[in-house]
Amino acid sequence: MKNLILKDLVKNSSSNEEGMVLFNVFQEAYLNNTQILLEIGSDISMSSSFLNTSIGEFLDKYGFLKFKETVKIKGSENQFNRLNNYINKYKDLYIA
Amino acid sequence: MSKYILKVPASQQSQDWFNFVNESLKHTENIKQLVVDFNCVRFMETDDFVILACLIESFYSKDCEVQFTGGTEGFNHHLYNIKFKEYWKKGFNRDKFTLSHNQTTLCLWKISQDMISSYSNYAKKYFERYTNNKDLVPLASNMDEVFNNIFDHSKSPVSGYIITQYYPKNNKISFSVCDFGLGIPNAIKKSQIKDVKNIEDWKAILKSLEKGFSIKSTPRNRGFGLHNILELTESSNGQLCIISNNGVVEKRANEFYKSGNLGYNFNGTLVKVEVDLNTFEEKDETQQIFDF
Repeated sequence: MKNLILKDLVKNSSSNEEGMVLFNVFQEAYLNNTQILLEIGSDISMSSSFLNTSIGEFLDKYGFLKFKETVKIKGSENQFNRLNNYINKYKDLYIA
Repeated sequence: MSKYILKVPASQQSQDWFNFVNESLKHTENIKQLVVDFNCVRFMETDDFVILACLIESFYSKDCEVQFTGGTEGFNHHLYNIKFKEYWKKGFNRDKFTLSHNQTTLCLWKISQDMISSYSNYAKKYFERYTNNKDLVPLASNMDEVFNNIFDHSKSPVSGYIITQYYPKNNKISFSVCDFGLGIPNAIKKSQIKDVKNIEDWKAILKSLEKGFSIKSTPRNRGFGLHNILELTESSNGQLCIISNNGVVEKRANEFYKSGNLGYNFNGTLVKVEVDLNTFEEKDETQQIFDF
């Protein structure tokens, strides 16, 4: 498993551009059959644009099960719940 | 030197303000000196400030010098605190974050793509002092939603502006954001979405708040941004007001929408969000490992 810290990977967590950076990290890990433990600080806000371009893009391309296999989160329960809420909304609307 | 005097209205009525904006915007060409006259003003809300900032910017962006006159001592003191007049002074760095002189209000701030996350993060840290360990991440992320909405959809010819204010008496924060872009209804009507060409403006704004509704101005839009703001309003005992083109939508937590046509047109979008900090979750600094 590879341990990564979100604030070290991206310049911000609000833009599409930085979302793509995170998506590339997820994709590389998935294609190399590596699991990521992504640490997200409790004070980091993530916009829907950022999440769409990172997690959303991965969900579209590879599906939720592959995302679940590839990414674990280290952080507060508040942060995890926000991400989980986003993924559930995305799945409900966009993933068959 | 061609001069134009912008007589800021005393009225707090939306119609008076938007009529003032629409009339003033007819005169932005070939003006070398703009005088912003506060002689009739006693008080302005946060949304009045951001609307006025966008209006001044409409002149300033055409190489116009800006001066200010009038206003009571107390009112000018507030302008000083939020550095309102600084924005149009020569030499002021408009792209760099600046502290206000006032503990409860962040400075007027011009929205740019470079400042999105720094503003919302700074606002979060700034107001955390008042919150007794509340988690203000949702406040910051919802500011980002409004900013991204401007950049993705508005095509605004001038910068948008934001002001954020804390109200200690009832522990609430409100932020107002304005841009002079297309407007939400116009953007929806010009999109590829079927059956919306003739939709009423207030209905278009309501539609924009639906989860998953997006005009896909950029390929990755998924229709969560404005819906997230609505969710925050509901969960935080808050209020949301959106005025755009000819429509207005107001939503208080746990109440029905109030919406309708304005009866006058606003070429742009004004979003005002108010949240009750008493409803926010406690900060959680624990570290656990989670599976989805």
